[in-house]
Amino acid sequence: MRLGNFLRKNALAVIALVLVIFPLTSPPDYQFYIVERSLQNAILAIGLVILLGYTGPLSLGHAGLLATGAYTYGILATKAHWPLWLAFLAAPVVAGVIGLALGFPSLRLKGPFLMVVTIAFGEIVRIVALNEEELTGGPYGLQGIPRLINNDLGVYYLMVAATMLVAIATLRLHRSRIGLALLSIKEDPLVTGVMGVDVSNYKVMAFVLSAALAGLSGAFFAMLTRYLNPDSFTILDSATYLLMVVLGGMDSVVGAILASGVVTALPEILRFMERARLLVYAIILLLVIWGPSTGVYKKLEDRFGRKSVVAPGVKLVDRG
Amino acid sequence: MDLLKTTNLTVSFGGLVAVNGLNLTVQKGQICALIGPNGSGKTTAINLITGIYVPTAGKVEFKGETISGLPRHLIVRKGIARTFQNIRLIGNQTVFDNIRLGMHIHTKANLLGVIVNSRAVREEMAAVKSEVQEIIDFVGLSKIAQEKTRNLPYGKQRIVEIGRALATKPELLLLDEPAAGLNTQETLELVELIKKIRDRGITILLIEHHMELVEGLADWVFVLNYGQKIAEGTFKDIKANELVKEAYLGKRGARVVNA
Repeated sequence: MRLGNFLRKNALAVIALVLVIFPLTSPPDYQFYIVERSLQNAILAIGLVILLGYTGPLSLGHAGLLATGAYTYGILATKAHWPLWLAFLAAPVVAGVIGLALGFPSLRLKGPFLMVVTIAFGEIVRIVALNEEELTGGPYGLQGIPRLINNDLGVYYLMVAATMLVAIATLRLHRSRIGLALLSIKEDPLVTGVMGVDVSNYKVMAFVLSAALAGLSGAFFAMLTRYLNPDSFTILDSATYLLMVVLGGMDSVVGAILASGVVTALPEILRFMERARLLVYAIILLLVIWGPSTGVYKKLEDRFGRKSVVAPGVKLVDRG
Repeated sequence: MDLLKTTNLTVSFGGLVAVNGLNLTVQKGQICALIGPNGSGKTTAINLITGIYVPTAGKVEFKGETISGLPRHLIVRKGIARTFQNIRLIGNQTVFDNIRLGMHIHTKANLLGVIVNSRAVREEMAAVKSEVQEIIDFVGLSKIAQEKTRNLPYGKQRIVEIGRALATKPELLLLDEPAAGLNTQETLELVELIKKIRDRGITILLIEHHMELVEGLADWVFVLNYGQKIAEGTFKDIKANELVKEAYLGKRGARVVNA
């Protein structure tokens, strides 16, 4: 499988190339918007790869962090009249700081208990956004958000660049000592500590990085919709982000990017089914998750050109 | 020189005193063994030394410095590494990366450096690679360096754990039943490896049930029973000690052996 192997090794470059060429095909506005949303989602999904895929904690509150970033940019741009690039940089910073606060419970709570905390956090952000009308516009929403680059293509290419930079940085993180420490924490925090890793620090770091990327994604969200409403940041949205990561194979950056595209586009592709749409969507997702337990992308990766240490011709037993 | 010294080391879990007033002194350069019947507190003692448990009373000194109460990730930086009785490798990582994890405390790359892939980070990575490779060669795992550890046979996994502990560049290596579950051939290889490690100047404290192994390796033996030290000395002394016979065989058993 020469082509498969090539695609696997250069997945990121191929994706970048496709994304750069895509607008040149002058796609319909709506298609263009879906791809834009896919990119924005991908940035958040990569953040979740760092948290859930590498380090382990499951967050159902990332829509809250997305909202934090989106409102930070929106409010600073429309109400505080900050320079737009400063507002843009402030979004991941503010979300990162909130992620720091969210990281500390993760040191004491595990599994479902931590998940409940993240759910609560997400809801708190949404309710605050709903009630702080002065700042957020409450249920009426925050309108007229300006864009960092005031044309569609500019924002699009900025997002392509951001996604690729984030992806490359995360891949570098993955192979570094920090990534190894995070992956080890996921499997066995005690041993990782005995090997000299300050487990608490690294866990909090994973939360902060993940939150900052959610915040960055939020700033792009605000620029894409140019209107913010608390309804866009529910627990369902958090779950959808988790889905992208799971579908992409948990700890795969490229997988998360591709899965973001699929999960964003699928409901739209199925729109012709009208009322059966959500049902079919749900069934497709269930099938996909039931099938290969390691995520679809990982499965494909395995199929095409993974090198095995075992001599060719020897059939490997599936060790699950 | 006393490398490791525990004074009145005690820990209790609820009403159970798992280790009770333990005084151990390990000399630099020795191979010491910690033996005793099941449940006598050997592993708990090692857990106390490496900071997995915090002692209820007493203290642990390493090179004259009190280390009890330090978090475990700092204790390893002082120069104490360990393996686990029930092997605890990072199963989804390769042999290479498991050993690389042991190098963590000797590397410095920070987040910013990693993200921009700075020159310092690249150089460090190259250095780590060759050091890990050296350890892999030393313990004899070159052929399977890129295998995920969960796919390895038990004996190999034990060796990977020792390699990972060596990667922290310890002065004191604690081995918790390194020969458990190994076949005769693997045990022989292990003995050779332990001697090689000692010859590198690393002091070793090992828990072991295989008495032939203890006899062949240990310069000094501590015997624990019900959390207390009941004897210490050379293997020969220990073998003749009445309290030790009793601990292993019971009073009647000891009489039978003596008869």
